[in-house]
Parts: sequence; C-alpha cells; structure tokens
Amino acid sequence: MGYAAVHDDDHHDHKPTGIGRWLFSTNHKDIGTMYLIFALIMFFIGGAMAMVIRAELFQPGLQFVDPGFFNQMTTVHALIMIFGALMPAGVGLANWMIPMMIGAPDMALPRLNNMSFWILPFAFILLLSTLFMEGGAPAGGWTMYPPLTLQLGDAFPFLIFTIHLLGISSILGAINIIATIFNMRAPGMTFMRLPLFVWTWIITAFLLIAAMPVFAGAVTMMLTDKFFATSFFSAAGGGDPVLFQHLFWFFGHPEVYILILPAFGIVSQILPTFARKPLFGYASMVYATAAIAFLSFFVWAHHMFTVGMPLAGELYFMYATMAIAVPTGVKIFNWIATLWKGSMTFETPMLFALAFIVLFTIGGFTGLMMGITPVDFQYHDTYFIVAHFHYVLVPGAIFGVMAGIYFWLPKWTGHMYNETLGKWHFWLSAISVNVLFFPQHFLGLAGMPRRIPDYSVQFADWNMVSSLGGFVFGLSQLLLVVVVIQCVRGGQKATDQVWEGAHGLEWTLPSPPPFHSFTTPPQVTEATAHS
Amino acid sequence: MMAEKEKDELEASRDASNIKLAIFLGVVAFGFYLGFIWYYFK
Repeated sequence: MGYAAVHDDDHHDHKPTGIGRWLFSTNHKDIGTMYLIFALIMFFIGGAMAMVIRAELFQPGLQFVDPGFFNQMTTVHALIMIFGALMPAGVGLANWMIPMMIGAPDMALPRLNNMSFWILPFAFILLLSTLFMEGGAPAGGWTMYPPLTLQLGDAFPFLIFTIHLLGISSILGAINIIATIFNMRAPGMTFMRLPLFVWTWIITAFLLIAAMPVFAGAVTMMLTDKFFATSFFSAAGGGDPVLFQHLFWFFGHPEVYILILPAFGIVSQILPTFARKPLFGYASMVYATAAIAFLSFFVWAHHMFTVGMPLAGELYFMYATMAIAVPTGVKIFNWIATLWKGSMTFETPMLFALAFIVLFTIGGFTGLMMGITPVDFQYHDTYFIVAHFHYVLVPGAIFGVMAGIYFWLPKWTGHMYNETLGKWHFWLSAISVNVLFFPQHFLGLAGMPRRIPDYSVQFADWNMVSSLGGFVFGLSQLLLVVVVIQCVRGGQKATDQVWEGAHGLEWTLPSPPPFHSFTTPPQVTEATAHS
Repeated sequence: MMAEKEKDELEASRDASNIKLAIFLGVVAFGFYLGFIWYYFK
C-alpha cells in the first residue's frame, strides 16, 4: 500500500554521497539521524561523568577525585544530559517523524534545520574544552547561580557562549517545527487530527521560544556583570543575586516540560499501538498538555522556597504547583484508560512506555511533596531532590526516548531489531534505575546534602547500593548501541506498518522510507489520520 | 492525485508562509531576549 508507492517518483530519490551528504544536509531524515547520534554520544559522555560521581560516592571519604573536580562533574554532567542528550534526542525524533506524520515532504526551513544542528557540536566542544583549562570546567552547578558562578576561571565566558549557542540552536529548531506543523500539513490533516507526538512538539516549541530568551538574557546580564562592570546580580553594586534565581527558574521550570512533553507524545503513540485501541480522550490529552505548558510559567519560585519570600508568595507558588497535578493526572488516567481492556502485547517499546507511566508518576508524586512549602524546607538541597528529578528525567524522559527509538527503529532502518536484546536492555535498565535512584529518597530524608563528594558514615550503605545500581544502569545502555548497530546492518525485513496496531501516515510509507517522502501531499481523512 | 500546477502553487504558498512565520517568531524571541535585559537595565 503506501502513499510513497503512489506518490514518490524514483528519480526524486537520489541521495548525496560522502561527507557532504551530512555536512550540507537539508533532509529531515538525515538531520534527524545526526541529532540522534549526537544525543547518543553526549548520553555516554554525560553518563561517564555520572559514573565518576557514583564511583566517588561509593564509600565515604575521598576515593578518586578531588572535591573541585567532583563539582565540575556534577555541573557538566547536568548541562550535557539536559542540553546535549535529552533536548537533541527530542529534536532528532521530531525531525524524523513530524514531516512523515503530517504528510509533509520535509521540514519547512531545511537550511535553517542544518544550521540548528551544526551549532550543537561546536557549542559542546566549547563546553568540554573547559575541562582542560586552568581552573577547570564550570563547577557552580547547572543553575549557574551568581556570585558563585562569577568566581569561575577561564571557563566562565566559554560557559556563557555555550549557553547562547544552545539557545540559538533551540530557538531556530523551535521556529522550524512550528512553521512545519502550521504550514506543511497535508490537505485534510486538521489540528485535531494531528498525532499526539506532533501536538506535544507544537507546545514544546512554543515553550522554547518563550523560555530560552529569558535564560539567554539572564546569562548575558551575568556576562556584563563579569566583564562590563554592571551590577544586575551584585548586591555590592545595588543589584540582587536572587533576581538571577528568579530569571533562571522562569526558564528552568518550563525547561523541565520541554524535556518531558515530547516523551508524553511518544508514550501516547505507543500505548494505542500495543493495546490495539484508540487513545482514550484525545482532545483532553491535547488540552491537558497545553494546560501543563501554560501553568509551567507560573510556578517557578517553588524551586526557591528557602531563599526567602513573603508568605503570600510561598502560598501562591505552593497552590499553583499543586494545580499542575490536575492536567498531569488527566494524562496518566487517559493512558491507563487506553490500556483498559486492550489486546496488549509487550514488545520493547511497550515495556519502556509502561515503565515510563509507573516511574514518571513516582517522580511526579515526589514533586508534589516538594511543592508543599514547609515540607520543602526539609528536603531542599538534599538527595531527595536528586532522587525526584532523576525519576522524572531518567525513567521519565529518557525511557520515553528509548521507547520511541525502539518503536520507530524498524521504520527508519527497514529491519526489525533484536527483540531478545531489547528486552534484556529494558529489564536491566528498569531494575537498575530503581536500585540507583530509589535509595536516594532515603538518603535525602535522612539529611544527606546534594553536590558533595564526601558524607557521614550513616549514609554509607544506601550510597553503595545506589552506586552499584548506577554501574549496572550505565553498562546496560551499551546494549542499546548493540541493538541499533545490529538493526542498521540487517535483520528481519520490517513491513510498512511494522506493528499490527500502528496507525497514521508514517506507517503507510515503506520501511525504510524513501529519501524524499510525500513529495505530493496525501489526502487525509478521519480514517487515515490517527489511531 | 494532485495536478503538477496545483502542487507548485501549494509549494509557493507554503514557502511564503514559512518565511513570514519564521521571521515573526524570530522577532518575538529576540524581542524577549532584549526586552528582559532592557527591563532590568533601565
């Protein structure tokens, strides 16, 4: 079947060859592939830093690294995982899938797409080069609070320039995604027929355009404080260091949703496919996602309860934070209702998606706990916080991306992946991630502070357990690389539809899809739109 | 199946809308950036 067989002429399917194919690429599939490979490399670099952190924390006392280097590891690990691994992975999936899902021939602005990607390697070369500088890499935490971050050595301007480059790349990427979805949809593909993954990306792209410039502005102000004698954040010059925290978290909270919303979209594609039922409450899923994104701009100071705020402010931010649980609950219950009485099978993408629901919900609940102001006074800057956001970002956002990779890999490569290895990857990851992060709740509740290389002996046992979980989790990710390489090189031929329960335009294309797909737009009807 | 002329028209109208939308969103983003700095600088 397939629209491509009908609409794509063979003479259109010539590919550029050699290095030029990748350097000058304007093809959404190639650029998507480059984003995904880049994200995978960054995932392993950031992961290696996490291994250094967990090795140092394996026992009390200083084992392997000095405290300064430990702080560099925690800071750069976070920056790489957030900006180098998760965000590019999401954009890579968007690049690959959005044009095929909406029946477009490519992204709206293909040259801009190339530029958005190629900024990234240069930005991260700049950031990683600071590891070899006098004074080392940034070590003041990924939140970059002044005045601590202003005390960095040569790394400071490199850090700021890296952030600016990442911001430019993200904003250009977001503009491209919005223009693609608004202008390039096939006839009949109305907004309420868009697949949920596309919807989550519209909303994510608007979040990026609204939040990123604020972050870029804040770091520019910090740059001028350092080099041009301004005092935006210097109390001595009449400025206010807490202002930076407000600006940072005005960006930082929506950033969390920038990371998680695409994963919501992926899970919303996978569950109906493997439950063989339409998604429950499509419209309410769209509105709930939009509501989460909207509310994310009004809760930022829950990250700053202990900094000192009027009581009314603390109450407001507490209640506003609680309100986000409502649309999030709508999504969780809709996913569960989608599964209800479905003819479920448990292939690797489904396993990752199911684990996402359970484990992300744990992270969400601990988030609610921290949203309660007086309780947060107890948890602030402890390992409880580390446990919370790692549950949201690792078995949350990263499992979502993993689920997406397994789900779409046969479509991209034309081959089925090795299901046995995929299941090994899932079970090792799902068990070890809990061994890694669950004990950190206990450590935090017992009072262990975050961002320290040494700790009191009463925290020794759970730290050892956590580190062991970390090493297994880190090693088990190598299985993903094996699965992907095997799948690219060959294997059982994938059908066009790949999965029995898959619906949508992307599954009407051959596997792998032609280099140029949907050069003539397909006509979309309610029946062909989505599951 | 879409006629060749119809396809060309669709492409041209998409190109024009894409550029207009991209410029608009770019100005909004850059405006936010400068606006925030200006707000605290003045």
